[in-house]
This record gives sequence, structure tokens and C-alpha cells, in this order.
Amino acid sequence: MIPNPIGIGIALVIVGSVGSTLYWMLHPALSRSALMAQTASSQASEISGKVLVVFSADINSLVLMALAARMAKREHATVVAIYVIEVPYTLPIEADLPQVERRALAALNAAEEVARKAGVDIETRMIRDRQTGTAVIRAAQEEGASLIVMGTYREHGYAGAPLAKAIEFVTTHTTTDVLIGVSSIDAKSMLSVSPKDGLGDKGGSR
Amino acid sequence: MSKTGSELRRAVTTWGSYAWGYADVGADIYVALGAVVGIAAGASNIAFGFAGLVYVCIGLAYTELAAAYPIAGGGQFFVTRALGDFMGFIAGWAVLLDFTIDISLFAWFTVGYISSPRLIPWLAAPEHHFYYFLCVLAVAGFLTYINVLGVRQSSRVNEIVAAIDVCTETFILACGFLFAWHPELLLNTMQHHWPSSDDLLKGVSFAIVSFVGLESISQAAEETQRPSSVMPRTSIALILTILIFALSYSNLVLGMHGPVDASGHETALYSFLGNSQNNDKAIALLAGFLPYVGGALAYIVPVVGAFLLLISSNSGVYGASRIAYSMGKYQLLPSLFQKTNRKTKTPVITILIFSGVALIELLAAYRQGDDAINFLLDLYAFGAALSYTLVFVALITLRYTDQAAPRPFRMPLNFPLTVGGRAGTVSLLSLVGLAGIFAILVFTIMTHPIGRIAGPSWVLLGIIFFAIYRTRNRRPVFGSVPRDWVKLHEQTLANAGELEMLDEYREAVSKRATSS
Repeated sequence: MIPNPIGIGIALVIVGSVGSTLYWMLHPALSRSALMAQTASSQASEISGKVLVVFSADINSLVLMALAARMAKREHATVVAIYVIEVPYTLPIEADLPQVERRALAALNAAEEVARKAGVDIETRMIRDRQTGTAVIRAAQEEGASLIVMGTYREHGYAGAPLAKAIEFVTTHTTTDVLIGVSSIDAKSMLSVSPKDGLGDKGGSR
Repeated sequence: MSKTGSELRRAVTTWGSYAWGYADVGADIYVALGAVVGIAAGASNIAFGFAGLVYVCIGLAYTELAAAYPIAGGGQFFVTRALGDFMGFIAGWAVLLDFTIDISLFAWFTVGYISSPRLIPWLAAPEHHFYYFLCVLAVAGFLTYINVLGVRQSSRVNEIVAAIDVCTETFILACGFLFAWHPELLLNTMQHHWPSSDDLLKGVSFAIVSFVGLESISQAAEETQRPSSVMPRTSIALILTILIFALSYSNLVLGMHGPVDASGHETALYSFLGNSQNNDKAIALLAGFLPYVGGALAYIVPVVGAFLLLISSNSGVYGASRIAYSMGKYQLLPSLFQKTNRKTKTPVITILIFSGVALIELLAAYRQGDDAINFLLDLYAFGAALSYTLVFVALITLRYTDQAAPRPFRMPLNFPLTVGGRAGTVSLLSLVGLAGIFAILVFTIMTHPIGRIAGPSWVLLGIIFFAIYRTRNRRPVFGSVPRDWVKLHEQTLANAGELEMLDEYREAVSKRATSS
């Protein structure tokens, strides 16, 4: 049977319109979080274990998050991303801190994007405490984390005293392995500290 | 140490969101085609065209609302937000009717497609009607059972089935128009088999059934990644795909030759597919008539169709429990509907109640004999038309009462209008849609003898139930329970990960507070 020209035209329109509709739907512009995730993922290399990734006002590195996600993917593990809000003693622990919560949500969203890109399961938690260090230790115990990841960016060769304070507290009070990453603004370098390896060990290694 | 529990898990991707909607709406054409061509005959394409126009408006309205309010609850939430608890209850109650019909109607058609000539034709014989009905009950019972047990429908299954079905239907239509369609036959059928006005109106009200279920996309809003960005795209894509399919099928049926009977007379295809013996498997039979590929499609299409219909029926079971849960959260239904079983962690009572309603509908449909499908379609069309009508009113109202809420997508063709001293904009399409869906609601009541009684009875029953519940709990029946909508909206946007929208909303709210 020879198809009639109108039928051919309609068939082409149906196939073309269904195909182009689905193509358009599946190719949206990347969101800001997705772009950040894409950049961060490309910087990551292989690491291993079930991972607790820490974020706070002073601890915030998506490169480390991406590394943790890749490692978790390879190990079929879950990433738990926490954001610790340090509430000053002058305020009640439940005090309304919308700006800080907003920053926390942004960090956790970006972490989710990174994990999604890496194809790994992620849980996110926002934690309020008086000190970042104690919150990290407790969260690691509650989650049964096998690795704590903390990272920041180095600006002009200086990573900042608040991070160093948290590193000292966490590495001396936990039996869990700790990975500390300090990347430059272009997120190229990374330094790892593990109690197991004896680097920076103050007696708390597993 | 205090914790804020995370509500940031969003597993539904762009394709997942589309597939979620498709699992519901995509199955509708399998249900509606036979019924519409059976009643609207040579004007079936006009019936689908009119319903399609209204559907586009409904789809755009849902897209605007779901993107602005990415929260589970869908139409019921939008109406509660805009018009208060009483109207929100009516919208939710109408959607609940549709979900229970979803269970029964799609279970019925699942068996219908299984009874196709190349699968189990024995079931389709009129003398085996009782066994057919038992199979329908078994399907509905099975779905209720797995939902009670908590076996979750995998989003991945939806995605795969949606992909297979979109490809299959596109293939059927492309082959149909290439090898079996005759434009002169289409014109001839339209000229000589034009229905009466009553039948055309009835056909339009049945045709709207092929577009019901867009709600599912907004139901999954809280599980969708970046819902306010993703859902407008998936909704528009779904609207276009379903519209293309519905319009193409109706024109294909009218332009194809039907089977030749024993006396050598050709039966018009629309009349063959629309009779009570075949209207429960119309697409499978249509595919079987296609030259070259019909032999293979006669096996494939019933299987794909039955599977899609089964998923759609399942969406009725969990959709009803989700809506009831959401209504419970807003004190529109008793907290009983929010309770989950300690062992299975599922809302067993809710599932059993609404599956029970579906069983009653099935028994009532069975008593209608050959009109069983029409009975279910009547109720389906009534519930959809009522809830969509209220959603349009909610959309127009929210444009005035909640101007602070960012709208990443707006229905097109807007014009400024000041109402009660408030300046705002109204979309022309929202008015067209409102008029269209209200007309369909009126058609349904006018032309469906059972729908006109059973539909309003369902609503009346619900209102009595609502009044008793609210009075007992000392809450207003016609008024609303006070709620902090601003806080709720902020929380919704934060949970959805729409942080730019959250900033925009906070700015608009503080600006409004400063100016007032």
C-alpha cells in the first residue's frame, strides 16, 4: 500500500513533535546548584568508606563533598551531610536564625546535588549546638560513620583559625577516621589527616 | 544538641516526574477512546479537540500552581489555600471520588486489555461476564493488598513503562497514518455519522476523561528534584504528548476502514471499537488492524496497555491515601486518615476505606450490565470537572490574595484587572478554561442519568460527613482554621530546595509588611 502524502506528513509531525517535546523536557538549563555540583564532581578523586561530611559557617568545601560522594559510590555506602549551626550562649538553642538557616540550606542543597550527580544516596541534617566539634562527634556516633570529612578553602595560603580549632577538637575526641581537606580557591589542592595514619593523631585513632 | 529533621530527600528526576504523571494520564486514552468514539461517532475528533482545549488550560493552571506551591496535596491544597477549608474539602472530596474510580475503572480496563483476542479472549465472551468481573475484583483486591503491605510502586517501573508506552503509541500512530489512514474516509465519516447534540455533549464529557490525572505530577512535588523548575517542563511536555495522542487517535479511527462482517459489509471502525464488546480494549484492537505491523502489535499493545492500566489503578489506591492524609493534615478529614499501622507503616484504615468505596462502585457498575463502563466514566468525569472548576477559581483568586508567592511559570495571555480595590492580572486562558470545564460539568450533569445523581450524592454525603466532623471538633464548618500560610510557604520552598524563590518570597513579604 502506498501511503498518501497527508498521512506521511501527519506521521512525521507526530514523531517529530513527540520527540522534540521530550527532548526539550529533558534538557533544561542547569541550575546554580547543578553547575556547582558539576564543577565540584570533576575535581574529585577516589576515596573510600561510609562518610559524614561536615558543613558549618567555617567548614564548607564542595570538593571534599564530591570526593566523599565518589568514595561512597564505590563502596556502596551512604553519605550523611550535616550542617552545624553554632548558636551563641547568649541565645537559646532554638533561637530564630533565618540567615544562618538559609546558608545551611544552600550548603545542604549543593551537597545533595553533588551526591545526586555521583549517583549516591545522601541524608542531610541540620544540627544546632554550642560548638561545632561536639556536634560532629555526636553526629558521627549516631550515624555510625566510618569517616568524617571536613574541608574548607584556603584563601591566600590561610585556612583560618576556626577550622583549626574544630580539627583539633574532632581529631582528639573521635575514634573515627577523619579526612580534612583544604583546597585553594580554584579547588585544586587537598590535604588529608587521618588518625589511623598517625597524621595529626592526638590519641583518638581507631 | 537539637536537630532539625531533614525533608530534603528528592528522588524523582525530570523523567521520573513525567513518568509519574504519565502513569496516570497516559492510561486514560486506553479507557476513553472506545467510549468516546462509541458515543460521539463522526464527531469524536471534535469532542477530543474541545476537551483537549480545556485540558491545555487545566494543564497550564496546574503548572502555574504546582510550580508556585511545590507541596503534595495538589488541587485540594490550592483550593484550601485560596478559598478556605470548606471549598478545599469539596475539591479534595471530588479528587477522592476520582481516585476511587481510578481503582475500579482501571482495574476493569486492565482485565479488558487482557481479554484481547491474542491474549485471553475467553474472558471477553458475554457468557463469561461474571468471571470477567471476578478478575476485576481480584485485580483491585491485589492492589489493595500490596498497598496495605507497603510494597511501594517503584519510580523506576513508572519510568520504564512510560518510555515503552510513549514509543509504542507513537509507533502505532505513525504506522496508522502511513499505512491505514484515508483523509477522504475521515471527511466521509464526519459528514455521514455526525452525532446528535446530546451525544456530542456526552462525548465531550467522556473525552475529558482522557486527560484526567495531571494532578499526579503535583502530588509528587515534595519528592521531585527542584520541583518549581522541573514540574513546569514535565507538565507542559505531558500536556503536549497526551494531546497529540488523543487528537491523533480520534482522527485515525475516523479515517480507517473497519472489519468486514460475514455478509461482506464493512463496519465503520469507530462503531466497531465503540460497541460494548470492544470498548474496553479499543487501542489493542485498533493496533491489530494496522497493515504490516498489526500482527505483532496485537500481542504487544494489550500487554503494554494492561500494565499501564494496572499501574494507573494502583495510583488510585495510594493516591487516595495520600490525599486523605493531606486533608487530615489541614483538618479537613479526621486524624484517623493520618494513622499508619505500627507493623506495616502504611495507612491501612485509609486504604481499606477507599478500596471499599471502589468495591461498592464496582458492584454498582456490574449491576449496570453493558453500561458498566459508562457508569464509571460518568462519575470519573463528574469528579474531575468539579475539582478542576474549583482549581481554576483558586488560581484566579490566588493571583490577588497571594501576590507575594513567586510564580516561576504563569499562564499566558494576561491582562490587568482591579477587583475590590486590588490590582492584579488575570490570564485569559484561565477564564477560557474555567468556562470550558464548567460547561463540561454541566454537560455531565445534563447528559449522564447516573452521574447526575451519584456524583452530587457523593458530594452531599461528604458535606454531611465534614459538617459532623468539624462540629464535633469545635471547628468552623464554613470558615477556616487559622494557619500561618507565610511560614508554611517558606518551609515548603526551603524543603523543595527552591532557595532563590525563598529569597524572593521573603523579600516580597517584608516589602508588603513595610508598606502596610
